[in-house]
Amino acid sequence: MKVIASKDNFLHGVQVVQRAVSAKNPLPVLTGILVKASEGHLTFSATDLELGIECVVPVTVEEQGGVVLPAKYFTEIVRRLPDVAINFESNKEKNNTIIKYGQSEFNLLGMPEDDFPLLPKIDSDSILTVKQEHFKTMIKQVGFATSNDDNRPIFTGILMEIEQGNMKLVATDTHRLAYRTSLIENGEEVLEKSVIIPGKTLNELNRIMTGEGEDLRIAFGENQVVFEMPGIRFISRLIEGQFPNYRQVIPQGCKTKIKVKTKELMDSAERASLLAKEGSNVIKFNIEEEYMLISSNSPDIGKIEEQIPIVMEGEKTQIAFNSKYLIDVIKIIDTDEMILELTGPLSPGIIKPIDDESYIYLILPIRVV
Amino acid sequence: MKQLNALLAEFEDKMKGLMQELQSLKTRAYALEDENEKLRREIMDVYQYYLKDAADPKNRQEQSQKHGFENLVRLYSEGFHICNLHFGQLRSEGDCLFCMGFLDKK
Repeated sequence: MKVIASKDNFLHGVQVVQRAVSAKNPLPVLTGILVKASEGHLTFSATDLELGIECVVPVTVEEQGGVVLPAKYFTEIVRRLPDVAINFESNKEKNNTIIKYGQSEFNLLGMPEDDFPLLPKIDSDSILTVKQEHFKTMIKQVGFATSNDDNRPIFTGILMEIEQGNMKLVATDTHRLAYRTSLIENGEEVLEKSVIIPGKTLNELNRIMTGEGEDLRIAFGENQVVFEMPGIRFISRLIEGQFPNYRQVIPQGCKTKIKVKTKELMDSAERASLLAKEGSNVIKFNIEEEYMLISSNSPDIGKIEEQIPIVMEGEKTQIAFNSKYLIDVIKIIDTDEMILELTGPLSPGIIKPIDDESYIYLILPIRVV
Repeated sequence: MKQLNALLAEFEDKMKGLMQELQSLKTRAYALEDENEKLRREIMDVYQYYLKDAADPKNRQEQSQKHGFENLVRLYSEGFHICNLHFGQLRSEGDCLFCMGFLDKK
Protein backbone atom coordinates (compact mmCIF):
# COMPACT_ATOMS: atom_id res chain seq x y z
CA MET A 1 0.00 0.00 0.00
CA LYS A 2 1.27 3.45 -0.89
CA VAL A 3 -0.65 6.64 -0.21
CA ILE A 4 0.00 10.38 -0.19
CA ALA A 5 -2.27 12.45 2.01
CA SER A 6 -2.34 15.52 4.23
CA LYS A 7 -2.12 15.44 8.01
CA ASP A 8 -5.77 16.59 8.20
CA ASN A 9 -6.88 13.58 6.12
CA PHE A 10 -5.24 11.21 8.58
CA LEU A 11 -6.32 13.16 11.63
CA HIS A 12 -9.96 13.24 10.54
CA GLY A 13 -10.05 9.49 9.86
CA VAL A 14 -8.33 8.54 13.09
CA GLN A 15 -10.37 10.87 15.28
CA VAL A 16 -13.67 9.63 13.88
CA VAL A 17 -12.98 5.91 14.31
CA GLN A 18 -10.88 5.82 17.47
CA ARG A 19 -13.90 5.72 19.83
CA ALA A 20 -14.81 2.30 18.48
CA VAL A 21 -11.37 0.84 19.22
CA SER A 22 -11.49 -1.82 21.86
CA ALA A 23 -9.03 -0.79 24.58
CA LYS A 24 -8.85 -4.17 26.29
CA ASN A 25 -9.71 -7.11 24.12
CA PRO A 26 -8.43 -10.68 23.96
CA LEU A 27 -8.31 -10.23 20.16
CA PRO A 28 -5.23 -8.01 19.59
CA VAL A 29 -6.45 -7.01 16.13
CA LEU A 30 -9.39 -5.16 17.73
CA THR A 31 -6.99 -2.82 19.53
CA GLY A 32 -5.98 -1.57 16.09
CA ILE A 33 -7.32 0.65 13.31
CA LEU A 34 -7.67 -0.85 9.85
CA VAL A 35 -6.31 1.49 7.17
CA LYS A 36 -7.27 0.41 3.68
CA ALA A 37 -6.40 2.15 0.41
CA SER A 38 -8.51 1.70 -2.71
CA GLU A 39 -9.16 3.82 -5.78
CA GLY A 40 -8.73 7.42 -4.67
CA HIS A 41 -9.65 6.99 -1.04
CA LEU A 42 -8.42 5.70 2.26
CA THR A 43 -10.82 3.90 4.62
CA PHE A 44 -10.26 3.87 8.38
CA SER A 45 -12.19 1.23 10.39
CA ALA A 46 -12.37 0.29 14.06
CA THR A 47 -14.68 -1.95 16.05
CA ASP A 48 -15.10 -3.48 19.47
CA LEU A 49 -17.71 -5.89 18.01
CA GLU A 50 -20.53 -3.85 19.57
CA LEU A 51 -19.85 -0.60 17.78
CA GLY A 52 -18.09 -0.22 14.45
CA ILE A 53 -17.07 3.01 12.72
CA GLU A 54 -15.80 3.44 9.18
CA CYS A 55 -14.50 6.71 7.76
CA VAL A 56 -13.53 7.36 4.14
CA VAL A 57 -11.20 10.21 3.17
CA PRO A 58 -10.05 11.19 -0.34
CA VAL A 59 -6.29 10.70 -0.87
CA THR A 60 -3.83 9.99 -3.68
CA VAL A 61 -3.43 6.23 -3.88
CA GLU A 62 -0.32 4.94 -5.63
CA GLU A 63 -0.72 1.32 -4.58
CA GLN A 64 -3.79 -0.33 -3.07
CA GLY A 65 -3.70 -2.48 0.06
CA GLY A 66 -4.40 -2.44 3.79
CA VAL A 67 -2.89 -2.83 7.25
CA VAL A 68 -4.08 -2.83 10.87
CA LEU A 69 -2.06 -0.43 13.03
CA PRO A 70 -2.07 -0.31 16.85
CA ALA A 71 -4.52 2.49 17.64
CA LYS A 72 -2.64 3.77 20.67
CA TYR A 73 0.54 4.66 18.76
CA PHE A 74 -1.04 5.44 15.39
CA THR A 75 -3.43 8.01 16.91
CA GLU A 76 -0.69 9.70 18.89
CA ILE A 77 1.74 9.98 15.96
CA VAL A 78 -0.93 11.28 13.60
CA ARG A 79 -1.82 14.01 16.12
CA ARG A 80 1.79 15.08 16.33
CA LEU A 81 2.62 15.02 12.60
CA PRO A 82 3.73 18.30 10.99
CA ASP A 83 1.37 19.96 8.54
CA VAL A 84 3.10 18.66 5.39
CA ALA A 85 2.32 16.01 2.75
CA ILE A 86 2.51 12.57 4.36
CA ASN A 87 3.77 9.49 2.51
CA PHE A 88 2.23 6.36 3.95
CA GLU A 89 3.69 3.02 2.90
CA SER A 90 3.00 -0.45 4.12
CA ASN A 91 4.68 -3.75 3.33
CA LYS A 92 2.11 -6.46 2.63
CA GLU A 93 4.21 -9.40 3.82
CA LYS A 94 5.57 -8.00 7.06
CA ASN A 95 2.92 -5.31 7.64
CA ASN A 96 5.73 -2.92 8.49
CA THR A 97 4.41 0.62 7.95
CA ILE A 98 6.50 3.72 7.22
CA ILE A 99 4.99 7.18 7.73
CA LYS A 100 7.23 9.74 5.98
CA TYR A 101 6.93 13.46 6.65
CA GLY A 102 9.52 15.84 5.18
CA GLN A 103 12.95 14.33 5.76
CA SER A 104 11.75 12.21 8.70
CA GLU A 105 9.97 8.90 9.05
CA PHE A 106 8.16 6.83 11.65
CA ASN A 107 8.12 3.02 11.52
CA LEU A 108 5.22 1.14 13.01
CA LEU A 109 4.67 -2.62 13.08
CA GLY A 110 1.17 -3.54 11.96
CA MET A 111 -1.06 -6.62 11.76
CA PRO A 112 -2.46 -8.30 8.64
CA GLU A 113 -5.68 -6.72 7.33
CA ASP A 114 -7.29 -10.16 6.83
CA ASP A 115 -7.44 -10.68 10.60
CA PHE A 116 -9.70 -7.64 11.02
CA PRO A 117 -13.43 -8.50 11.19
CA LEU A 118 -15.59 -7.29 8.31
CA LEU A 119 -18.09 -4.65 9.32
CA PRO A 120 -21.50 -5.99 8.32
CA LYS A 121 -23.31 -4.56 5.33
CA ILE A 122 -27.02 -4.13 5.81
CA ASP A 123 -29.31 -4.63 2.86
CA SER A 124 -32.52 -3.40 4.28
CA ASP A 125 -35.65 -1.69 3.08
CA SER A 126 -36.05 -0.14 6.49
CA ILE A 127 -34.25 3.10 5.74
CA LEU A 128 -34.98 6.50 7.13
CA THR A 129 -33.42 9.90 6.45
CA VAL A 130 -33.29 12.69 9.00
CA LYS A 131 -31.42 15.96 9.31
CA GLN A 132 -28.23 15.49 11.36
CA GLU A 133 -28.75 18.70 13.31
CA HIS A 134 -32.27 17.67 14.29
CA PHE A 135 -31.26 14.16 15.34
CA LYS A 136 -28.36 15.59 17.32
CA THR A 137 -30.77 17.73 19.36
CA MET A 138 -33.06 14.74 19.93
CA ILE A 139 -30.19 12.62 21.27
CA LYS A 140 -29.02 15.47 23.49
CA GLN A 141 -32.51 15.76 24.97
CA VAL A 142 -32.87 12.09 25.97
CA GLY A 143 -29.36 10.60 26.05
CA PHE A 144 -28.55 11.75 29.58
CA ALA A 145 -31.49 9.87 31.13
CA THR A 146 -30.11 6.38 30.43
CA SER A 147 -28.85 4.17 33.23
CA ASN A 148 -25.20 3.15 33.67
CA ASP A 149 -26.12 -0.12 35.34
CA ASP A 150 -25.01 -2.95 33.04
CA ASN A 151 -27.05 -5.42 35.08
CA ARG A 152 -30.15 -3.87 33.52
CA PRO A 153 -29.06 -3.52 29.86
CA ILE A 154 -32.44 -2.31 28.57
CA PHE A 155 -32.13 0.88 30.58
CA THR A 156 -28.64 1.58 29.21
CA GLY A 157 -30.31 1.99 25.82
CA ILE A 158 -32.54 4.52 24.10
CA LEU A 159 -35.80 3.29 22.63
CA MET A 160 -36.29 4.44 19.04
CA GLU A 161 -39.88 4.00 17.98
CA ILE A 162 -40.97 4.81 14.46
CA GLU A 163 -44.66 4.74 13.68
CA GLN A 164 -47.12 6.70 11.56
CA GLY A 165 -44.48 9.10 10.27
CA ASN A 166 -43.23 9.91 13.79
CA MET A 167 -39.95 9.14 15.44
CA LYS A 168 -39.86 8.85 19.23
CA LEU A 169 -36.79 8.57 21.41
CA VAL A 170 -37.28 7.43 25.01
CA ALA A 171 -34.72 6.88 27.76
CA THR A 172 -35.18 6.05 31.42
CA ASP A 173 -33.23 4.81 34.42
CA THR A 174 -36.52 4.06 36.28
CA HIS A 175 -36.20 7.23 38.40
CA ARG A 176 -36.64 9.66 35.51
CA LEU A 177 -37.73 9.42 31.91
CA ALA A 178 -37.00 11.60 28.89
CA TYR A 179 -39.30 11.45 25.87
CA ARG A 180 -38.93 13.26 22.56
CA THR A 181 -41.11 12.91 19.52
CA SER A 182 -40.62 14.35 16.06
CA LEU A 183 -42.25 14.20 12.66
CA ILE A 184 -40.25 12.43 9.97
CA GLU A 185 -40.11 14.98 7.19
CA ASN A 186 -39.13 12.66 4.37
CA GLY A 187 -42.46 10.94 4.38
CA GLU A 188 -41.49 7.33 5.23
CA GLU A 189 -44.94 6.81 6.77
CA VAL A 190 -44.96 3.10 6.07
CA LEU A 191 -41.90 2.30 8.13
CA GLU A 192 -42.70 0.92 11.58
CA LYS A 193 -39.86 -0.01 13.91
CA SER A 194 -39.13 -0.28 17.59
CA VAL A 195 -35.51 -0.85 18.57
CA ILE A 196 -33.31 -0.22 21.60
CA ILE A 197 -29.99 1.37 20.67
CA PRO A 198 -27.17 1.48 23.26
CA GLY A 199 -27.06 4.98 24.78
CA LYS A 200 -23.27 4.96 24.54
CA THR A 201 -23.51 4.45 20.77
CA LEU A 202 -25.87 7.35 20.24
CA ASN A 203 -23.75 9.63 22.40
CA GLU A 204 -20.72 8.69 20.26
CA LEU A 205 -22.74 9.34 17.12
CA ASN A 206 -23.61 12.76 18.50
CA ARG A 207 -19.94 13.51 18.93
CA ILE A 208 -19.21 12.62 15.30
CA MET A 209 -22.19 14.30 13.64
CA THR A 210 -21.29 17.74 12.39
CA GLY A 211 -24.85 18.94 11.90
CA GLU A 212 -24.87 21.82 9.45
CA GLY A 213 -27.93 20.71 7.52
CA GLU A 214 -26.56 17.41 6.22
CA ASP A 215 -28.63 14.25 6.07
CA LEU A 216 -28.26 11.16 8.23
CA ARG A 217 -29.46 7.83 6.84
CA ILE A 218 -30.59 5.24 9.34
CA ALA A 219 -30.88 1.61 8.18
CA PHE A 220 -32.21 -1.15 10.40
CA GLY A 221 -30.96 -4.73 10.19
CA GLU A 222 -31.96 -7.84 12.10
CA ASN A 223 -30.03 -6.92 15.25
CA GLN A 224 -28.01 -3.99 14.04
CA VAL A 225 -28.54 -0.40 13.06
CA VAL A 226 -26.41 1.61 10.65
CA PHE A 227 -26.08 5.39 10.60
CA GLU A 228 -24.62 6.85 7.44
CA MET A 229 -23.46 10.37 6.76
CA PRO A 230 -21.14 11.64 4.05
CA GLY A 231 -17.87 9.69 4.40
CA ILE A 232 -18.84 7.94 7.64
CA ARG A 233 -20.61 4.64 8.44
CA PHE A 234 -21.54 3.93 12.02
CA ILE A 235 -22.76 0.43 12.91
CA SER A 236 -24.13 -0.60 16.27
CA ARG A 237 -25.68 -3.73 17.68
CA LEU A 238 -29.14 -3.38 19.17
CA ILE A 239 -30.10 -4.24 22.74
CA GLU A 240 -32.37 -7.25 22.88
CA GLY A 241 -35.43 -7.23 25.09
CA GLN A 242 -38.69 -5.46 25.66
CA PHE A 243 -38.63 -1.80 26.62
CA PRO A 244 -41.11 -1.12 29.43
CA ASN A 245 -44.42 0.49 28.64
CA TYR A 246 -43.40 4.12 29.10
CA ARG A 247 -46.85 5.45 28.18
CA GLN A 248 -48.37 4.11 31.38
CA VAL A 249 -46.04 6.18 33.57
CA ILE A 250 -46.64 9.53 31.88
CA PRO A 251 -49.28 11.26 34.03
CA GLN A 252 -52.32 12.68 32.28
CA GLY A 253 -53.13 16.06 33.77
CA CYS A 254 -51.83 17.73 36.89
CA LYS A 255 -52.96 19.63 39.99
CA THR A 256 -50.32 22.38 39.91
CA LYS A 257 -48.90 24.02 36.80
CA ILE A 258 -45.95 26.37 37.14
CA LYS A 259 -44.29 28.63 34.60
CA VAL A 260 -40.79 29.68 35.57
CA LYS A 261 -37.77 31.35 33.94
CA THR A 262 -35.34 28.61 32.94
CA LYS A 263 -32.19 30.51 33.87
CA GLU A 264 -33.52 31.58 37.27
CA LEU A 265 -34.46 28.02 38.17
CA MET A 266 -31.12 26.72 36.89
CA ASP A 267 -29.09 29.21 38.94
CA SER A 268 -31.12 28.58 42.10
CA ALA A 269 -31.06 24.80 41.70
CA GLU A 270 -27.30 24.85 41.16
CA ARG A 271 -26.73 26.95 44.29
CA ALA A 272 -29.06 24.72 46.34
CA SER A 273 -27.34 21.61 45.02
CA LEU A 274 -24.05 22.75 46.58
CA LEU A 275 -25.44 21.70 49.96
CA ALA A 276 -27.59 18.91 48.58
CA LYS A 277 -24.50 17.03 47.40
CA GLU A 278 -23.51 16.40 51.00
CA GLY A 279 -26.73 14.57 51.75
CA SER A 280 -28.84 12.63 49.31
CA ASN A 281 -29.00 15.34 46.61
CA VAL A 282 -32.37 16.58 47.83
CA ILE A 283 -33.71 20.03 46.98
CA LYS A 284 -37.13 20.99 48.37
CA PHE A 285 -39.65 23.16 46.58
CA ASN A 286 -42.50 25.05 48.25
CA ILE A 287 -44.88 26.24 45.59
CA GLU A 288 -46.86 29.32 46.58
CA GLU A 289 -49.17 31.42 44.42
CA GLU A 290 -46.63 33.92 43.10
CA TYR A 291 -43.32 32.46 44.07
CA MET A 292 -41.46 29.24 44.67
CA LEU A 293 -39.17 28.61 47.64
CA ILE A 294 -36.18 26.43 46.86
CA SER A 295 -34.32 25.10 49.85
CA SER A 296 -31.68 22.65 50.78
CA ASN A 297 -30.27 21.73 54.15
CA SER A 298 -27.13 19.97 55.24
CA PRO A 299 -27.10 19.83 59.08
CA ASP A 300 -23.29 19.82 59.36
CA ILE A 301 -22.66 22.58 56.83
CA GLY A 302 -25.54 24.98 56.53
CA LYS A 303 -28.73 25.68 54.67
CA ILE A 304 -29.95 27.71 51.72
CA GLU A 305 -33.36 29.14 50.87
CA GLU A 306 -34.11 30.98 47.64
CA GLN A 307 -37.27 32.58 46.35
CA ILE A 308 -38.00 32.93 42.65
CA PRO A 309 -41.10 34.35 40.97
CA ILE A 310 -43.44 31.98 39.13
CA VAL A 311 -46.82 31.98 37.43
CA MET A 312 -48.88 29.25 39.07
CA GLU A 313 -52.21 27.65 38.27
CA GLY A 314 -53.89 25.18 40.61
CA GLU A 315 -53.02 24.10 44.15
CA LYS A 316 -50.10 25.14 46.33
CA THR A 317 -47.83 22.20 46.96
CA GLN A 318 -44.49 20.97 48.26
CA ILE A 319 -42.15 18.55 46.57
CA ALA A 320 -38.52 17.42 46.72
CA PHE A 321 -36.33 16.31 43.82
CA ASN A 322 -32.88 14.86 43.33
CA SER A 323 -30.89 17.96 42.33
CA LYS A 324 -28.86 16.10 39.68
CA TYR A 325 -31.95 14.82 37.89
CA LEU A 326 -33.39 18.34 37.86
CA ILE A 327 -30.25 20.15 36.73
CA ASP A 328 -29.65 17.55 33.97
CA VAL A 329 -32.92 18.50 32.30
CA ILE A 330 -32.72 22.27 32.83
CA LYS A 331 -29.36 22.19 31.03
CA ILE A 332 -30.94 20.95 27.81
CA ILE A 333 -34.01 23.20 27.84
CA ASP A 334 -33.26 25.99 25.40
CA THR A 335 -36.42 28.09 25.85
CA ASP A 336 -36.42 31.14 28.16
CA GLU A 337 -39.28 29.73 30.19
CA MET A 338 -40.23 26.21 31.21
CA ILE A 339 -43.24 24.41 32.63
CA LEU A 340 -43.42 22.23 35.73
CA GLU A 341 -46.53 20.12 36.19
CA LEU A 342 -47.01 18.56 39.62
CA THR A 343 -49.63 16.34 41.24
CA GLY A 344 -48.79 16.34 44.93
CA PRO A 345 -45.54 15.51 46.72
CA LEU A 346 -45.52 11.80 45.84
CA SER A 347 -46.43 11.74 42.13
CA PRO A 348 -43.91 12.19 39.31
CA GLY A 349 -43.39 15.76 38.15
CA ILE A 350 -43.36 16.71 34.48
CA ILE A 351 -40.91 19.22 33.09
CA LYS A 352 -41.11 20.60 29.57
CA PRO A 353 -40.08 23.63 27.57
CA ILE A 354 -42.76 26.28 27.21
CA ASP A 355 -45.04 25.92 24.15
CA ASP A 356 -43.44 22.62 23.14
CA GLU A 357 -45.34 19.37 23.51
CA SER A 358 -42.70 17.33 21.68
CA TYR A 359 -40.49 16.96 24.75
CA ILE A 360 -41.45 15.56 28.16
CA TYR A 361 -39.21 14.84 31.12
CA LEU A 362 -40.58 12.87 34.01
CA ILE A 363 -38.91 12.97 37.39
CA LEU A 364 -39.81 11.00 40.51
CA PRO A 365 -39.95 13.06 43.70
CA ILE A 366 -38.06 12.08 46.82
CA ARG A 367 -40.14 11.31 49.79
CA VAL A 368 -39.25 13.75 52.60
CA VAL A 369 -40.50 12.84 56.08
CA MET B 1 -73.05 11.18 120.46
CA LYS B 2 -69.67 12.08 119.04
CA GLN B 3 -69.07 8.46 118.11
CA LEU B 4 -72.43 8.28 116.38
CA ASN B 5 -71.60 11.40 114.34
CA ALA B 6 -68.25 9.92 113.34
CA LEU B 7 -69.89 6.67 112.32
CA LEU B 8 -72.49 8.57 110.28
CA ALA B 9 -69.74 10.58 108.49
CA GLU B 10 -67.85 7.38 107.76
CA PHE B 11 -71.03 5.78 106.50
CA GLU B 12 -71.71 8.79 104.28
CA ASP B 13 -68.19 8.58 102.76
CA LYS B 14 -68.64 4.88 102.07
CA MET B 15 -72.00 5.57 100.48
CA LYS B 16 -70.43 8.26 98.27
CA GLY B 17 -67.71 5.80 97.20
CA LEU B 18 -70.28 3.14 96.46
CA MET B 19 -72.38 5.61 94.44
CA GLN B 20 -69.29 6.60 92.40
CA GLU B 21 -68.46 2.96 91.80
CA LEU B 22 -72.03 2.31 90.74
CA GLN B 23 -71.86 5.27 88.35
CA SER B 24 -68.65 4.03 86.74
CA LEU B 25 -70.10 0.52 86.43
CA LYS B 26 -73.18 1.99 84.76
CA THR B 27 -70.99 3.98 82.32
CA ARG B 28 -68.97 0.88 81.58
CA ALA B 29 -72.14 -1.13 81.00
CA TYR B 30 -73.42 1.50 78.54
CA ALA B 31 -70.05 1.45 76.69
CA LEU B 32 -70.13 -2.34 76.51
CA GLU B 33 -73.69 -2.24 75.28
CA ASP B 34 -72.68 0.24 72.54
CA GLU B 35 -69.69 -1.86 71.55
CA ASN B 36 -71.84 -4.97 71.54
CA GLU B 37 -74.33 -3.29 69.24
CA LYS B 38 -71.54 -2.13 66.90
CA LEU B 39 -70.06 -5.62 66.74
CA ARG B 40 -73.48 -7.10 66.04
CA ARG B 41 -73.87 -4.66 63.13
CA GLU B 42 -70.41 -5.56 61.80
CA ILE B 43 -71.16 -9.27 62.01
CA MET B 44 -74.41 -8.60 60.23
CA ASP B 45 -72.60 -6.68 57.47
CA VAL B 46 -70.03 -9.44 57.02
CA TYR B 47 -72.77 -12.03 56.99
CA GLN B 48 -74.74 -10.05 54.42
CA TYR B 49 -71.57 -9.58 52.33
CA TYR B 50 -70.90 -13.33 52.29
CA LEU B 51 -74.48 -14.01 51.32
CA LYS B 52 -74.16 -11.54 48.40
CA ASP B 53 -70.67 -12.72 47.54
CA ALA B 54 -71.71 -16.35 47.27
CA ALA B 55 -74.48 -15.37 44.90
CA ASP B 56 -72.21 -13.22 42.64
CA PRO B 57 -68.91 -14.80 41.48
CA LYS B 58 -67.90 -11.58 39.67
CA ASN B 59 -68.05 -9.71 42.92
CA ARG B 60 -65.94 -12.39 44.58
CA GLN B 61 -63.32 -11.99 41.84
CA GLU B 62 -63.24 -8.21 42.35
CA GLN B 63 -62.68 -8.68 46.06
CA SER B 64 -59.89 -11.12 45.38
CA GLN B 65 -58.26 -8.60 43.00
CA LYS B 66 -58.56 -5.91 45.64
CA HIS B 67 -56.84 -8.20 48.10
CA GLY B 68 -54.07 -8.92 45.55
CA PHE B 69 -53.56 -5.21 44.91
CA GLU B 70 -53.27 -4.55 48.64
CA ASN B 71 -50.56 -7.21 48.80
CA LEU B 72 -48.67 -5.48 45.98
CA VAL B 73 -48.90 -2.11 47.74
CA ARG B 74 -47.56 -3.74 50.90
CA LEU B 75 -44.72 -5.41 48.95
CA TYR B 76 -43.77 -2.08 47.34
CA SER B 77 -43.84 -0.21 50.64
CA GLU B 78 -41.61 -2.90 52.14
CA GLY B 79 -38.98 -1.99 49.53
CA PHE B 80 -39.50 -4.43 46.64
CA HIS B 81 -40.19 -3.86 42.95
CA ILE B 82 -43.68 -4.77 41.77
CA CYS B 83 -43.20 -3.76 38.11
CA ASN B 84 -42.99 -6.53 35.55
CA LEU B 85 -39.34 -5.68 34.85
CA HIS B 86 -37.88 -6.39 38.27
CA PHE B 87 -40.72 -7.99 40.19
CA GLY B 88 -39.66 -9.05 43.68
CA GLN B 89 -36.19 -7.48 43.47
CA LEU B 90 -35.06 -5.15 46.22
CA ARG B 91 -35.52 -1.44 45.45
CA SER B 92 -32.11 -0.21 46.44
CA GLU B 93 -32.35 3.28 44.91
CA GLY B 94 -35.67 4.67 46.08
CA ASP B 95 -38.91 4.80 44.14
CA CYS B 96 -39.36 3.22 40.70
CA LEU B 97 -41.31 5.02 37.96
CA PHE B 98 -42.76 1.80 36.58
CA CYS B 99 -43.89 0.41 39.95
CA MET B 100 -45.54 3.75 40.72
CA GLY B 101 -47.07 3.89 37.27
CA PHE B 102 -48.61 0.50 37.94
CA LEU B 103 -49.96 1.56 41.33
CA ASP B 104 -51.37 4.82 39.93
CA LYS B 105 -53.09 2.98 37.09
CA LYS B 106 -54.93 0.81 39.60
